[in-house]
Amino acid sequence: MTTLAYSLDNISFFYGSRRVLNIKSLNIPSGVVTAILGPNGSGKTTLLQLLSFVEQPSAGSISLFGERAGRANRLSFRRRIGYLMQKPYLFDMDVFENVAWALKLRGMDAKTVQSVCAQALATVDLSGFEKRHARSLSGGEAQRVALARALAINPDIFLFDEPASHLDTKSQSLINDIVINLGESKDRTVLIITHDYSDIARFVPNFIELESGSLVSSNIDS
Amino acid sequence: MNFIFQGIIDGLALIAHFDTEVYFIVWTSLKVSLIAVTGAAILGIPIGVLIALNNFVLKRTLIISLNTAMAFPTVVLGLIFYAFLSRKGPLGDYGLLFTPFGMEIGLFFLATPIVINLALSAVQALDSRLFTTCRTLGANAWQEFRMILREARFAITAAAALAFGRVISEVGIAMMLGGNIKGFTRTMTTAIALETSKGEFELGMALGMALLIVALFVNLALYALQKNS
Repeated sequence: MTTLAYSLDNISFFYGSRRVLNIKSLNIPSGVVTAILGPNGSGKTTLLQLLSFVEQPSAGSISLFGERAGRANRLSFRRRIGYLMQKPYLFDMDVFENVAWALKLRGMDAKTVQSVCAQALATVDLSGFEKRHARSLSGGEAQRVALARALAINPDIFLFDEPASHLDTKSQSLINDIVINLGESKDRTVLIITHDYSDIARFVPNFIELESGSLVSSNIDS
Repeated sequence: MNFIFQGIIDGLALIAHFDTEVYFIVWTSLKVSLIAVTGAAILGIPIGVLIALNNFVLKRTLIISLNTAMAFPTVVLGLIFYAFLSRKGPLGDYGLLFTPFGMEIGLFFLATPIVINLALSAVQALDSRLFTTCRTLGANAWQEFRMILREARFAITAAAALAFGRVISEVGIAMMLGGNIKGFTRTMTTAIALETSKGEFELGMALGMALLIVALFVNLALYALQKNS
């Protein structure tokens, strides 16, 4: 039987009086990569923000691995998720500190932080960038630091919001390779928003498609 | 013009010769101002951040009130606290009027709206992705608050410096709540007013220059802090 990473029940989300998301039911299996498709304004980023537990639905419920989200478990849920924004925000500090911050706030000791950061930065091909100030990086490098930050916390779930858009070819292919590897590992759940499904369809067979905030098609067998 | 130049020269001589009276007045001003601004920062910065991060009914009204409080005439503030601290007032039994602590209370209420308002503006000016990033990286409210302070540190430090500038240079509260008592509550501004009215222009000028030097050092410290960061 497939384990469900997420289970959404009668979800709706409003910005002011405007409903931007309305999903009756959606189950997302764990251990697979799923693409979220749809035109601009279809609610993809809003859905990802709900799945990251940064935003809360106006109505309905979301369960993570069978446990319903609420005030008490929101923080522990967030800590199981790595979120990569389309345009990442890097703190006003060096690259190492940017990656290390999330580890330190989980109480990891300095030696482990050092080695985990070094490994995460090596994965995104940024070894030697530790002392560079984050604000001096190019867009592609900044996105890779943000990816290293997400990888370092070793989450169960990765949420990627068009991570490779507006990036150079090298960064795009590196990020795609990491998504492929995460998918192949079978122990990570990945949701990735994309505008161009044809680009990633070969390694992301599952998709859900949104339009005007509603789920219009999906090939997920949950 | 000679009168002014002579005043400046005599004033510099008083500073250079470490005149006890001048230095005690400078010390009193610095002490009450620093205590008031530290208290205002401890209370005002978290309040400013909380107001910036939360939406609630009457938020706009609160911000307008804070803006108004920033421009509150110090004499009126001094008058209000005089009424509270004077013997007939509700806090009269504590004997706080004409004491450094009484001045610190008044100055604290002068500095707090400035710190709240500028901390609020500093946080509102931050990139909203900062808050999302903190939460998605698993920060709890306290860890997020600390990161927000870190990211807004220059603007928040400038807020504290501005509040310090306002507090150390005001005269109304220091005069009304301190009483300008020699060797006890006399500050630079009250002493300048008094000494000049007595015709002691040199002492007034020395204290005026000391006030400017203090302002210069505060700004230099702020600049150094920003440069080192």
